[in-house]
Amino acid sequence: MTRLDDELDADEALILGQARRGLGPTNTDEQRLLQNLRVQIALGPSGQLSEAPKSPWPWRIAGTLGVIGAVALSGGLGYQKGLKAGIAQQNQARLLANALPVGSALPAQPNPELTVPAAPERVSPSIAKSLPAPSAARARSEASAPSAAPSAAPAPAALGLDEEVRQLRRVERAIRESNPRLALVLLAELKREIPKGQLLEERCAAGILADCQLGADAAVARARAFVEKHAGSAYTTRVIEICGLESKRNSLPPGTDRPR
Amino acid sequence: MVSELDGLPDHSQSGPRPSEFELLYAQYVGFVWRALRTLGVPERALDDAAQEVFIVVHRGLSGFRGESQLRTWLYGIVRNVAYKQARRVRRKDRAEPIDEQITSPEPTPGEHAEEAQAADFVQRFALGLPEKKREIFLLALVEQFSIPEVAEMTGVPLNTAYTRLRAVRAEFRAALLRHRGAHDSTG
Repeated sequence: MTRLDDELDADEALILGQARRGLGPTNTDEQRLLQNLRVQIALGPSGQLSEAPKSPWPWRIAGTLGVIGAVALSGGLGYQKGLKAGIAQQNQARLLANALPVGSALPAQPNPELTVPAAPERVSPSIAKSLPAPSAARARSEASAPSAAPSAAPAPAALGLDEEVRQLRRVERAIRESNPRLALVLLAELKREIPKGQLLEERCAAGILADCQLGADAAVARARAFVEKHAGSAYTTRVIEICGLESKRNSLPPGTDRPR
Repeated sequence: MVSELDGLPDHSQSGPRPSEFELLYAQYVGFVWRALRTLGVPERALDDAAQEVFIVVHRGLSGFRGESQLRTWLYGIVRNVAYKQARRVRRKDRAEPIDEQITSPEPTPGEHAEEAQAADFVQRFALGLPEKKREIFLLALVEQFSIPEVAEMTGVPLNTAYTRLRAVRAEFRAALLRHRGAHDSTG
């Protein structure tokens, strides 16, 4: 009996070990799931997900902190600071540029859909109005923007901006994680859903950054055009760095080297 | 529990360092995936269920420092999601037998074929157990947590956990004997 038990134990251990490996996810499963999670997390809480199990109060507090953590994770330090300071969501979109890292170069095609918008479109009146203490460069560019629209924007427009900001956060995260292909897919989705948004400059810059991360030749020319048209943009330094326009840095107007 | 950090993507050459969440993901994705399968989530719903688990985890991650506390909390989420998914599937496919909820292992060479067959056997066995025994089987036998850990994770008294483990282990031995016997007679 003892002998049989020992054999069964060994047999149990063997089959359980094999089953443990067989029941686990494949590398493909893991990567696919992680990719989907990154997109979901960048989107933020949807309110349609399963709740955590009933938990004692420290865990509920942890859940609240988790929401803050999620925002920080999806948006980087810039967002966290913005939240702490109570800066409006539109301003967070402006901070996207400061969180973008230099990405790895990968072979790919440029994105022809994303073109450099004309300068007057670069700052929407409602956003410009909400910007805190603009830099000298930004103040100059805002001075050339169209005259301000009425401050009481209609509700549909506000909702559109909200969604546009949310989707741009996803794009920004993809670029920050050196996933330019995902960034371009998300940008195309954004263009389809909100064709005439208020953050066209941000979309254009993000598209250029993604193309530059992909190593597309045409992206460099578009990056130069962007820098020339938007010398005061918060994205200018990023575009110069990621797209390798070092020679352009010296020709920028004073005060545009490190926009904040 | 065996750490799965070795499977973590390498960000050392380029790109940002993995976040706390991604570290946790790399460590627990295997556990979550196996637990969902063993607790009855069908193959076609696994992606959604695993995603739901990690989104909830992401929302509540801050504040967890102790491994034990986090593991218990994580398993609670897995269990909620798994049973919710299982109920959803039962409503949708009320007549679907267990055999159709399990994807039969594809014929693969050598070691992988054995793993797939073992997984199939273990999953079928688990799905034939009542929920409470299935949890003990998953945590103590498949995941190899200690019984005190299992008792904490499932919220049952230690003696109850031991009693259930003895019962489920006897059932597993019997099932394994039948399985081996059938295998030997056909082989």
